Amino acid sequence: MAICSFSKLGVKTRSYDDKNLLPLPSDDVFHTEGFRQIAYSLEEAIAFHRETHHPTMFNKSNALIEAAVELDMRTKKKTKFVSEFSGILMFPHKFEIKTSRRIVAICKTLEQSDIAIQSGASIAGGSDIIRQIKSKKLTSTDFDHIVCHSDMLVELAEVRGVLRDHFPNKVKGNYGTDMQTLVTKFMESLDYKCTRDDIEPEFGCVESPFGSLDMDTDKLRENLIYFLNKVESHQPKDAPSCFIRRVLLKSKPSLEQFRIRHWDLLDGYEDPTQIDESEMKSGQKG
Amino acid sequence: MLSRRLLCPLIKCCPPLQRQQQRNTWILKRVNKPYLKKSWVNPLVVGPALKRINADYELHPDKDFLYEVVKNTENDKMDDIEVLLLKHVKGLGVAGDIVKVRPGIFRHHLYLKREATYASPENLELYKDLIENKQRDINAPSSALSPITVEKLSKTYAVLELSSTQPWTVEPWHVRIALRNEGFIVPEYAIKMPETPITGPDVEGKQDKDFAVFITINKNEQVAVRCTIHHIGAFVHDNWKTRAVRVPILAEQKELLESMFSYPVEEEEEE
Repeated sequence: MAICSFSKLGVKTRSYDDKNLLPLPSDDVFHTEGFRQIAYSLEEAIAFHRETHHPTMFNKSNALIEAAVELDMRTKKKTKFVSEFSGILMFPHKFEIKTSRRIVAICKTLEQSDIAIQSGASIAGGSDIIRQIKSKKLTSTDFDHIVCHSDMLVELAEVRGVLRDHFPNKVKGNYGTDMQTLVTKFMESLDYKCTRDDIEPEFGCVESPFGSLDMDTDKLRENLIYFLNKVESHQPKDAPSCFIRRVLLKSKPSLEQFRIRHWDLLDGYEDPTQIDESEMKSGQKG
Repeated sequence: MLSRRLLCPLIKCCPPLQRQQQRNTWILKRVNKPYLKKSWVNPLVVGPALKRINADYELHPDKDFLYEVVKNTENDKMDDIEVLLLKHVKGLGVAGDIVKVRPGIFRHHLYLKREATYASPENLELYKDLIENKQRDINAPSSALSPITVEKLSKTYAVLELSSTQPWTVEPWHVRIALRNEGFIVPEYAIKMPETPITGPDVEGKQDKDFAVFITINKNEQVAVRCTIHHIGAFVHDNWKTRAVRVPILAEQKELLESMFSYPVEEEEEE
């Protein structure tokens, strides 16, 4: 399978496996090479990043904190893997982030289009925009999201084949009656995308910022739990193992990354270190 | 000279000079069921008729000596063996410890150097004093891992990345972060800073210069570690470790830093 091709290409696996690594020693000072990666609690990992952004070091107290979630993409079939997915995030606690968004608003009356442009949409209009999409003057490279008033859905259905993924649906929630809430929702949200390569199809990774370092720790915790739950919802039901393998916290410009105990934040996950210990004890008795 | 024609059959008929035993087991299975008296008893035939039907039958020389291999233990991985250490072994333990190692490591390295023996009941009684006096030894390393940690710590350059605009004084947690970047887990109570405080920012005076801190492992062994200050945004050469002779920040630490490990200076190639 995939593992055979690694040796030919000379590529290392990206997935973390602690089968051949030693359990942590009881010493207070040690070098971490050859041992299992330490799993910190969320509070500890955030405190470490706050240290490196202290005024005496990087001097960036409002730096963004990112989470890299590593996924197990296997399904029930051995030759089939979870395909790449994407979505938007609406965090419960908002933070400042510089993103450029191009939103197309489709609505019936002039008043609605004025409201849409005031709240941040780059283009707003009615049947003239649908005509542009039909003639391929306006393509998916020119915008990020499409927002539609529910009166115009029937007319927009003509260009369903051209729009494909951008066509409004219930899961995305990009159609409704109130244009102002619709546009602001997509202006304030963040995109996330799962990346995967063909060499190692069982490994996927999702990266997204979930807050800034000057926020409260409780708010950061709620944001991260929301993000992890959103990612976990993409797992098929009959998967052989847990979806999330490892969660790393990063914060630029520091290059450090800390593994956190994600099994404390989510339900349905077991502590992998405790399983090992119980196995060791039962093995010794036997 | 003996001719080749005479020698060749002589060598062939001699047994090989070098013979080695192999500790392995072959588990075999018969291909054909042989016609043996016991296995072919017919319960319906009794009395004198038995003699006539179940006559003794000799095993067929080709057909009945065919076997299939079920299992061969030659390539199986052997279990770890328990050994008694007689000396302090780096990464394994202190003299008097009973540890589990791979049999090959024990036979080819530890046993030949007299660093360990088999942990048999006879040996345990022979080295009773060694096991009892294990904890009283002051010079013994505090744990199996500590000699390796001492070696690695003494060869590292902990780089402190500090601000070039905001004022600072070097504190233990700065050193802790610098060592964490190199892969060392060090608590703050184990770090002993130099007595005179180091302040900054001072890009001209302190950039790429060294000072030493002391680190105690398990509250027992003390190591001096070389720390270097790099200001954020200031220029640093790629080969800063081997470019020139290291310069100390504090005059009192000059002798200490010269006695410590440092990479030899390499002369740059001029184009």
